[in-house]
Amino acid sequence: MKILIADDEELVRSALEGILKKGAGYETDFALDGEEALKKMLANSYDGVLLDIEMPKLDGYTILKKVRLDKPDLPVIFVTGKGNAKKVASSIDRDGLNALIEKPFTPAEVLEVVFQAVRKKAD
Amino acid sequence: MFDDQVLHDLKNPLSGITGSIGLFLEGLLGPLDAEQKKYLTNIDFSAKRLTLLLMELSAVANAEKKQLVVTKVPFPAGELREETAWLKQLAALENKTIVDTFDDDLSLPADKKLTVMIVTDLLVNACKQTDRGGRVTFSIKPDKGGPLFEIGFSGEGIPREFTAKIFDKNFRADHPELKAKTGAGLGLYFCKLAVEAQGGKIGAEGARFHFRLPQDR
Repeated sequence: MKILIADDEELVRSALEGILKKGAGYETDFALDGEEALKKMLANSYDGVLLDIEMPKLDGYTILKKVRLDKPDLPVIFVTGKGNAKKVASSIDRDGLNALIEKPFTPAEVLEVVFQAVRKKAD
Repeated sequence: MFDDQVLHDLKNPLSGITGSIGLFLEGLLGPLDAEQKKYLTNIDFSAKRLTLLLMELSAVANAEKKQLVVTKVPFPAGELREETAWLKQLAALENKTIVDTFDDDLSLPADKKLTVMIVTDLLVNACKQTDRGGRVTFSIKPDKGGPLFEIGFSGEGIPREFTAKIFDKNFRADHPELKAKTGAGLGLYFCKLAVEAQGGKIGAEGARFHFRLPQDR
């Protein structure tokens, strides 16, 4: 399994990497801004993407809309500090967002959501 | 109180802490000795308290803009016991006891995340109100009008003149004892908004907080 972690904060990327590697044995790849995230999502085949909403160059909403044209089945999970806002929740229905992880997160929370989203794709 | 951006910016470094500490405490980096565990747990509990404050600030900001998302999906009360288990350990550090008495299988018609936050806040509050060696009780009673949550604590309780006001925004008691114990007046205000957003009612009498979360009709 290979998961793309897209977040402009090194501390967040590194914590997520540790959780996915140590907790699930997954491989990880990184994107440091929105443009890089979109490029990598379109060029590679990942089993899932952890996507920060607020990133330089392109935000998570725009990336999700664009990537859905080519990859309707790619599990995309927002990792956001803007949880509980209606805008994020409505993204789930409108743009096919698969799940949401709210910052700050714990390993158990991240793994539960990622396992579910990845398993749904496999089913 | 704070704008969204400030809250968002605070959550990023906090994620680095909670995510990394969890790797140790969930055993993903190998065994820990007792001392390592003790101090990592201290960091973890501090991060949990910070997390609760931030989530409350977020929820209050959203509720005041009528943007708070409430997702009522019934869940068993046992999950509430698990989510608040760390508070028993935290209370024990101050020689206080939290005793919960409810049926794990009792179905709660509520937003789980908000309800965990409400109960956590009330338990933290109750622990603050009780002296060292004191006892906090937490019960949930099934009732026709929806489950009734009660959090009681040993001690004198909240003076009667304040019980109607302690859930107000930024309430600070002009009372030496209560002042130190109630903080900035965020937590109980959050509890009120989060209970009311689920159609319920919250109150306090003496040494007891209580709220009810009704079934949707």
